[in-house]
Amino acid sequence: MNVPSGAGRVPLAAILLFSSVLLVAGAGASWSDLLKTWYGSDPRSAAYASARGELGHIFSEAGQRHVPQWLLMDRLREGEAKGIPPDTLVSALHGELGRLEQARLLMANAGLRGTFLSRPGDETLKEVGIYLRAGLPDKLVGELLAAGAGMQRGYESALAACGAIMDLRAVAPLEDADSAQIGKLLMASGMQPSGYASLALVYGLGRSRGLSHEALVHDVIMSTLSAGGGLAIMNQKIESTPIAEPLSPARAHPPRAPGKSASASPARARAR
Amino acid sequence: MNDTCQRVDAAISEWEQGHVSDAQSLFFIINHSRACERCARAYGALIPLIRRDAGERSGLVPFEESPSSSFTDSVMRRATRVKVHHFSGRTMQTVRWALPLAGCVALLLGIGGLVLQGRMRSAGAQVMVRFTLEAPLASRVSLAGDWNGWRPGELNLKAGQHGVWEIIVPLRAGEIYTYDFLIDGQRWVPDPHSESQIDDGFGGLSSVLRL
Repeated sequence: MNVPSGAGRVPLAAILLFSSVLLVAGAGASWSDLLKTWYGSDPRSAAYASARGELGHIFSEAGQRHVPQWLLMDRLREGEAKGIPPDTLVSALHGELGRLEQARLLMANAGLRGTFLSRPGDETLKEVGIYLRAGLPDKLVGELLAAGAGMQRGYESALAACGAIMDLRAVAPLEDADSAQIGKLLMASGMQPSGYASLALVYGLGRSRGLSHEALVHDVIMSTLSAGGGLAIMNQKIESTPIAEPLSPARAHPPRAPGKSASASPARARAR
Repeated sequence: MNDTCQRVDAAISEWEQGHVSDAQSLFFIINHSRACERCARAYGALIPLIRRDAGERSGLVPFEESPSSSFTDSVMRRATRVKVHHFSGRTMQTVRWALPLAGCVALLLGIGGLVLQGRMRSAGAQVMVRFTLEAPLASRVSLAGDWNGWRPGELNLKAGQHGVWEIIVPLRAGEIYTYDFLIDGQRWVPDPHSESQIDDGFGGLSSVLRL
């Protein structure tokens, strides 16, 4: 078949134009119609027919506030799976939207940077939102994110530090100031971010050996990190500490019978 | 101090003497200590040990697959399936169309990449994560989380010995997940072995897993 000279340019331009329109339309549809698709395709969504208007409002508000709707869809599906009543679900999604908006603000204020292949995105937003939901104060999260902003791939360290502080605060009554300091020391240390999560276990080990909260936080964790050390040195410090006192919870119980060694406690034996 | 605190006192006392071995009792201590300031202050330091005790029987153990054994093998398998095309005089005529078309596809992929880049932080390596739950009285246990759209019944745990249920799930490293177990299709429970459990916003708890 003969092709007229120059005819190739027309189809190419047409292909480009058509594809671009398809791409833009497709992308737009995927972000804005998640809720409609859910109502249309998931039979269990019928239980939330009464909340359709309010949910639609939340989702459109998310679009206006540049909060990815798929993050809200995750929470919506969680609520649906757990059989949460419509009004409770709406209220929870309102809260989630506010939290994600706050997370976006914290990230923007911190000026997080990444590399070409790995940079903060919506997954990062999800993670920061989880830390806020876990109860980490906005100021603390903002401080840690800002500390990571000046570092190469610092946002990964900052997120790992937030995760470690979240775990640590689940087992230790850690003040905000101490939390921020430990988080920043972790990021400045030579430790791999994946190792930060072990800090809570180290703390538990120290407590099981009778070290006080203050001694662990200041003399073991902070001083080790300040000196450039890591988990192994913290462990050495803990292991070299003589067991002088019974476990703190034991104080809440009547004294042990005479002759019964405190080291016979299974808790201590297990910790070794 | 209420009746529940007294039960926790008794459970801790028994645990210290090595008499508590079932996960439900340990789970009871952990959950109550989260909600009760008095017990959190008294027993907070023991929670990691209690978790570890529970973990000795049924922990959450992430282990990495070697990237070389999965990714490279996959690439090599694909490579062996690729057919080699020989250009002839006839096919050369289509090359004139193929080149702009390839450019067009590359452009679209580039734009698509930019659209998606905001959503994907990084494509971490896949890790196989073993989830276990001790639930001797359960007849069915499933796992649901934000990685599978919270679809209950999709990931069913297998019953093992001593009432321990288990499943291994491939997940991406470098991501954070929330999840829970569903017992008998009715009761949602957080993973007693997860490092953190957070408010799910619906009056319950979600387990957090950061890989």
